Amino acid sequence: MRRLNLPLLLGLLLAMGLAVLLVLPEVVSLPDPHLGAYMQMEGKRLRLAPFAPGEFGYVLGSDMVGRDLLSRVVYGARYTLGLAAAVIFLRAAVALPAGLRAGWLGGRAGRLVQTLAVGFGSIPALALVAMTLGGLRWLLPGETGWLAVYVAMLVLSGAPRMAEQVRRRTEEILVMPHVEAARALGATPRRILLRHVLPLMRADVAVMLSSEMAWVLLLMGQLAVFGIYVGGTVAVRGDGWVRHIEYLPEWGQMLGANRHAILGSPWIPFYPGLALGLSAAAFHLLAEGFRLRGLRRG
Amino acid sequence: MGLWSSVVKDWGVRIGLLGLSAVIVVLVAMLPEGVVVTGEYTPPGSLGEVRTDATQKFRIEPVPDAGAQFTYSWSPAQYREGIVTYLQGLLAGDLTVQRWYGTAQSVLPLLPLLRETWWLSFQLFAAALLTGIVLGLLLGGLVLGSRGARAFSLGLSVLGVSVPDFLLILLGQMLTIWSYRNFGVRLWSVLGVQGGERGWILPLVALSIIPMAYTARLISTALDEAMREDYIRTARAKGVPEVLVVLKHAMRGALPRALNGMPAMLNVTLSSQLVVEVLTNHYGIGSGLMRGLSYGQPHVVATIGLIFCAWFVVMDGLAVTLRAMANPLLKGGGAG
Repeated sequence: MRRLNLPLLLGLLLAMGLAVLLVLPEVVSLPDPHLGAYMQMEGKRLRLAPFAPGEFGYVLGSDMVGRDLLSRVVYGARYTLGLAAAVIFLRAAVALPAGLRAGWLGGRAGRLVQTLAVGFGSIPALALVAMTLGGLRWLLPGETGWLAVYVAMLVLSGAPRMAEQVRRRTEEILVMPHVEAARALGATPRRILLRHVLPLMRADVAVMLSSEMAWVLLLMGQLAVFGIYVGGTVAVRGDGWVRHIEYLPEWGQMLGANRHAILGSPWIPFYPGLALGLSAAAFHLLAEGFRLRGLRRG
Repeated sequence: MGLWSSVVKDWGVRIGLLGLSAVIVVLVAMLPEGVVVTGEYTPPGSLGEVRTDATQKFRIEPVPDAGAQFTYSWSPAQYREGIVTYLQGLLAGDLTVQRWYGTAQSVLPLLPLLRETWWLSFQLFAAALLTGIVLGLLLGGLVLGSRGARAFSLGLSVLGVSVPDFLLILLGQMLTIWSYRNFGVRLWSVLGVQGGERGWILPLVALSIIPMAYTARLISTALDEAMREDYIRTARAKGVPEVLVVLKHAMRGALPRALNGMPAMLNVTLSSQLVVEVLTNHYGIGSGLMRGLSYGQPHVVATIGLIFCAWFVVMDGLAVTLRAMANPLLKGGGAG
């Protein structure tokens, strides 16, 4: 009887939920995530934003300036998951070739990758990235420069660890008979790595990418708690009031910029935090499921 | 290589890494010291201003090139001077800080404040680690029980590792807000330690989940492997009671393997502590770091960074020492 792989099943279900969020704006008409309504009439009473879930047709409530939270959370999936996917793509683009090459060459190259992985692991990633970005944010007022540094730091904080995992696995595969046979037949290092080593790493790469995606989403959420996020703020000024609010509906930014609202309007930081947390959990469960499947297949 | 030479080598490597981390932390944290604002000041990340008529619906859009008004220069000389002044202040112990939690005084000595702050963090960390490890050992032990107990143990440990700290805190805060609004029952305080004893519950629970889940996973895997060993079969064949087989034989084999994962667990728990403290208003070093970043106080960020690195290295070193002591065959072990 086949045993149920519960982590994989749960992970896939959550990942499907995320996929639905990504395509939802194409199939359902949602309010503009940037459209605000600061005041609403309730009978003869004038009510000011934020509006609680269920009030005035806001399913998940509104934010501080009356923007629809459901719409912002749904649109936010594109920004947040897109950003995390870009970080993973760049990490893989750096770590895979570096790890394969270091595994093949061994010696100094191998030691360099190992040292970098140990060095970056010697300070918890959150502290390192938060301090670096906290220091750099004053030097980069423009949004593009800030986004580039944010992504670069997220890539750098995990790439050495990923390269080290690839290096170790490459070393294990390189001593297998089929690789020795390819060497004996005069195959070039490039051909050996691409044709004989990389295909055997598919399962490991699937685990690695899911796991790294989960860590990146987790780190984005944790950085947001420290007020470090992308998307920019806008000062919205009305008659006698001004609110500095987040602009892009990116989950991390929506959580971080509104974390003080937890006592008065808890739904504002809660739903973006829930979305971000469940996404991280989905990829953790997927990684766990892939690992379990690999173990069962031996 | 003997046990103690291995331990000394491990500590040497870690102290070297601490030195390297300290240099990186100071260089990075002090970057804002070199900034000289020469023009109109706009907070970083600001996309400009939108004026609205509050009675009408409005679309929020950033003003084009809003960030461009920010004009500044970065002076290497000022940066260098900032670092030198900071290091002198640190060595002399006379660093000061402005605007600290709930104090009327405008300028306060930094190092005594950070000592109190760290102590508060340490109490939370130690309590969470102890609670998490004890619960994790019990949960991990369930793997030897019935099929249901095994599934419960594995499921809970996988979930514990998967669900992020900030989500746990948010769920906890929502739960207590909901119970208070609907039933008038305050399960715990949302405000952290200044909310009284109840202020400790949420950060403690949230922070102990990670060590619990990690320990449970490590112990269950190690016990699973240990129970298949020949010496376990021999002990059972000799009629040793099952409890003794587990506690005396299997645990002894499983513990060193489980300790291999300790450095990773400490790394994640310490990172998580920063987030837990900020979200629950626990005035530890996580909140201090947040404050330093928000108020643009690079010397506070750098000092907290140094404390954090030293703390991490000591905990990591202790974990590796414990591992080596539990199994002298494991020599060195790298960073885990």
